[in-house]
Amino acid sequence: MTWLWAAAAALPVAWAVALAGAASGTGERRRTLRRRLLRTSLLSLAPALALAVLGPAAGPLDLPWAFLGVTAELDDVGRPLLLVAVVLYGAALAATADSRTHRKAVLGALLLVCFVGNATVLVAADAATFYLGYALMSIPAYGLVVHERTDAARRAGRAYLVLTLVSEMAVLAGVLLVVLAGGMRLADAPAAVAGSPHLGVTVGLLLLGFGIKAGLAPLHVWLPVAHPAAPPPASAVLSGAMIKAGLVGWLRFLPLGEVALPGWGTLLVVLALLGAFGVLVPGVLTADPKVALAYSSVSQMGFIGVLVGVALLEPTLAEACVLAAVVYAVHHGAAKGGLFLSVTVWRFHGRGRLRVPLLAGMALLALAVAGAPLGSGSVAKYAAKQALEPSTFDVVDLVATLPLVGTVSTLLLARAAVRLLPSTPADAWGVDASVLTWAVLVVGGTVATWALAGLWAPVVATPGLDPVTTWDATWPVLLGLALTALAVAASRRDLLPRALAHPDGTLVPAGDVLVPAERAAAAALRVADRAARATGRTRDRAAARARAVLARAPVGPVDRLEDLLSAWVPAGAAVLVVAGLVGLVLGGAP
Amino acid sequence: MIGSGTEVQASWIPPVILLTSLVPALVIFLLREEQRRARTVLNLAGALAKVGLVAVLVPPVLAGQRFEWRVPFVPGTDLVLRVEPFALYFLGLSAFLWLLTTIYAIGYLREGRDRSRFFGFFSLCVVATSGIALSGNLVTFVVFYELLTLATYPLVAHEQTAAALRGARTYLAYTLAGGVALLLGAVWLTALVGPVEFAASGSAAVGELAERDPATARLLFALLLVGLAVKAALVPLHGWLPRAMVAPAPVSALLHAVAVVKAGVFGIVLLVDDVFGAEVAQRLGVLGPLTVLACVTILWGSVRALRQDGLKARLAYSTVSQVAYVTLGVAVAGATATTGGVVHIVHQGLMKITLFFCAGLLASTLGLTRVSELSGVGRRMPLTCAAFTVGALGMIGVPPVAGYVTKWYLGLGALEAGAGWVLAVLVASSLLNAAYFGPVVARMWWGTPAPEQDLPRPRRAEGPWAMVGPTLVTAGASVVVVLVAGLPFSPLAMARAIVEGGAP
Repeated sequence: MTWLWAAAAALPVAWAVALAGAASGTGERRRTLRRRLLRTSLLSLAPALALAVLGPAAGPLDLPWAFLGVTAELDDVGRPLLLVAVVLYGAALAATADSRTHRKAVLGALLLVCFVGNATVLVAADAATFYLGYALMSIPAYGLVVHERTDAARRAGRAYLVLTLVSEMAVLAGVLLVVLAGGMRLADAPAAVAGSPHLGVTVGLLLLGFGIKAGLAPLHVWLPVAHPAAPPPASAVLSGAMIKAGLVGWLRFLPLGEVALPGWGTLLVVLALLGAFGVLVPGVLTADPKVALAYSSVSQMGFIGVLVGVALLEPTLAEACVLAAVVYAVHHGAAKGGLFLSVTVWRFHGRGRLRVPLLAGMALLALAVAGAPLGSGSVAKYAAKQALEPSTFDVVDLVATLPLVGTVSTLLLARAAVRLLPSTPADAWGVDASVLTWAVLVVGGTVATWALAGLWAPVVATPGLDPVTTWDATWPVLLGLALTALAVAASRRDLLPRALAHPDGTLVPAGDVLVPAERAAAAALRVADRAARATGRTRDRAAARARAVLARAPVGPVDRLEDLLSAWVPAGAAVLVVAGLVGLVLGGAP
Repeated sequence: MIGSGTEVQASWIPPVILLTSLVPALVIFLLREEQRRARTVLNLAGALAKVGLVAVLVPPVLAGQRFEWRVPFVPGTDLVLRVEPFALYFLGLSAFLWLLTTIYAIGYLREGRDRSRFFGFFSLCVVATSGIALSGNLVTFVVFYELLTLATYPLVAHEQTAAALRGARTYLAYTLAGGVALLLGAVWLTALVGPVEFAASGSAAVGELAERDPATARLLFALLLVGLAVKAALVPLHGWLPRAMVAPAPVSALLHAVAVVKAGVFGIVLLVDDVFGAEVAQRLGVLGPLTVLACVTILWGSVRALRQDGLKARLAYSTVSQVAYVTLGVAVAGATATTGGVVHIVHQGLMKITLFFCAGLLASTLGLTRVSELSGVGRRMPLTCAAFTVGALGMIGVPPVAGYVTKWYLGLGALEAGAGWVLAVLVASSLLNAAYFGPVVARMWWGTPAPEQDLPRPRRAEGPWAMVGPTLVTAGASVVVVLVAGLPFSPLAMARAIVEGGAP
């Protein structure tokens, strides 16, 4: 069904172009047009939704005439993530239409372009198409990050863009190496990489490139500055859908299940664990709920990173790990996206009659992310546990350690809640599109993963309701809640130093290691600038000297010669006259 | 390049192609300054005729037909014009962009002076470029190459300010010196092996010379390369290019996108592939140094561009860097890299002309010429800034703009040739491109204008449609050419056909 694929790409682009075209102008008609376009922009995602629902029944896409040849198909990895992406971007567009952000049309247009790129990444069946989508998603997202145009947004945008470009280039080089090895079709890519003579470089580039996108520590630094700076709908898709593109890149290109890579696998597991647990410190020491949510994303992506790392280590576990990672990504995409949108929804509706349903929905989402029983998080964590159980990784006991990620999440989400809920929400509105789409996410983030995991990924076992399994899912959350209660009690009774009791992000600023990195970069730029100036001065002096030499040396003699010759001109004429006379005289003489 | 299965036929088509520009040139010189309509009609008629001719010629030439026109020139050597795929490719680019630049220039110079002189030389410049594209042997190439130098001088000096005259003098000094080197090389080579005809895998006679006397062959290669490298702006012979920025915007656009710089790299491609032949050049060991030279140019141009505040100066250094991609493509062995180089002739042309059109629009509508003044311009001139963004993204190599296809082919070609370090250079260059184009784009859309800078509200149009229209067309074309890259007559398909030799 090529037409459906074409519509899925063309409609959002058409809407984006129309929105961008209508973005300027202040007349009443312009404003109406903008509002209508933004409201209807949800419809442009319909073909993509149809594709996700149809799945393999939609057939593959093959357009050899477009770009470097465009192919796409819906497989176990792409299909569920596409569904999440559609829902998430839809919710973000609806929230944008309702929000009071400036230049909503621009934001909507950027979201639509990012959606096309993001969806392309998920469904691409060849390396060139994947790269096309990856860039189409990453670069316009800069506009999402800097949308508010504040100094914080600009700083976040800079960090985002620098890391994104590095990611882009590492991915390009890595992908080209994959293609060189014969992995143009993504189905062949893992085997091709496994057999490539440049195996080490390729894997290193892919881990770096996609690691930046997936928020792998210490490359995660853009996340905690970009999320709070971006408008909430943009944060929702950044955290829910875009960082999953990094995961998909790993799953598509790394030689998972083909060859055991102990070195790279261990590195990935260690870095992922570092991210999963290390972010607790800056995450709870922040005052901004969105920073805490961002750090929670880094922590959860660390969990997924562990799965990919184990798949790299032990090829026999690869299939289970990949499916578990996808289930986890689906769950996290919907639930975390929903939480980010909660920030907007709460600010507009937290006062009105929707207060209680909102609180309930947010609590559900938070519990799901933390991995409480019956939620999607528990399904994902259960799948991960099943996948990791046979692992022989001996640096850390993964099966015992990973449930604690749930505790980290609980703490971070509690921190976000403590900061978000007391904030005074704006006036209450009625039910609108953003609440509805948010509600869809609540359902998706909590129970849909359960259904989908059973339906689309039958290899994954869904958790039963026996007491052991339920307790396994419950205790990390309870531990987190207990710790939160302790912390709240301690800060109420002034048992903690002020900086810890009411942290405001000064102790460990958002972006943690980004801050020294920025300082180092600024210093390096200053040095380079000074060196360039010095070089320029040297060159100018040399050029001036050369010009002076040129002006003196050859011109002098040439001028003198010229003077000499021109002085001879009258003399020459005289000679001619004399010679003529002599000739006449001699000729006349018989 | 005459491949197998081709059929050469004598034809009047090649000189007619030249006449489509030569006739307007000569008539325009005779027009009075105020005969605006006649001038416009002549210009557009010539440009449209040429585009039409090229379009008609594409299918038969790709099917293997060749049209040749040959007259005795100097004893023993003919003046040869031949329509072949590579010639047609370059000709197509120049015809298309000339048409757009002519329209743009009509808008740009609405109130200018000496317009008859300007458009006369403008057309003459296209005659020279077409002649370069069509030349079938080395001597013909040299003749038109020199004509191009002379025809562009009055364009660079057009404003006749002290700065313009100085820039034009520098331009002339560089290009004439380069011309001497080229002429010397061509004469020497012709003296040794007779008239050098361009051929698909190199001239046979030159191949024999390389076998017999590799040292002389290397020296000749170097001499011809120096002649071509001046126009192609390879470091360290690039100094004229940033100084020639004093020219009016349409001239800069044409200079950077099709005419002078492209003539240089077109010549380098011919030198490597059609005079010596890639294999012979590889055996002589001249491609390695050429690769290094191209890489140095790519990086140096980018580093210098970083430090320019003048928008046109930044674009000029970016050209130095980008055009070297073409040289890199032919210098790295293998069909993939060469395809990347050849396709960049068109890709860079479209993207760079867009950028220069935008620079001209910004300068003529708002008087903005410096990068630091561009904050928030996106709200005042959204179409121009959108076009600029497309061009800039293309230069960085971000899909879906044309530049990424070039980078894909060059990178893959470098890997196939076992030169991974070239890929590293490409990556570094892309990051540098992003470092000098990124802030410009970010400033336009997300910058806050300085309080003392008063940008008029978006009421009036962004500029005459004669200027905005071509800008949007080239920006759109930079995306469309890769959107349909798999279709038979796309630049990529043409480049593949050219590299594979003859019939597709």
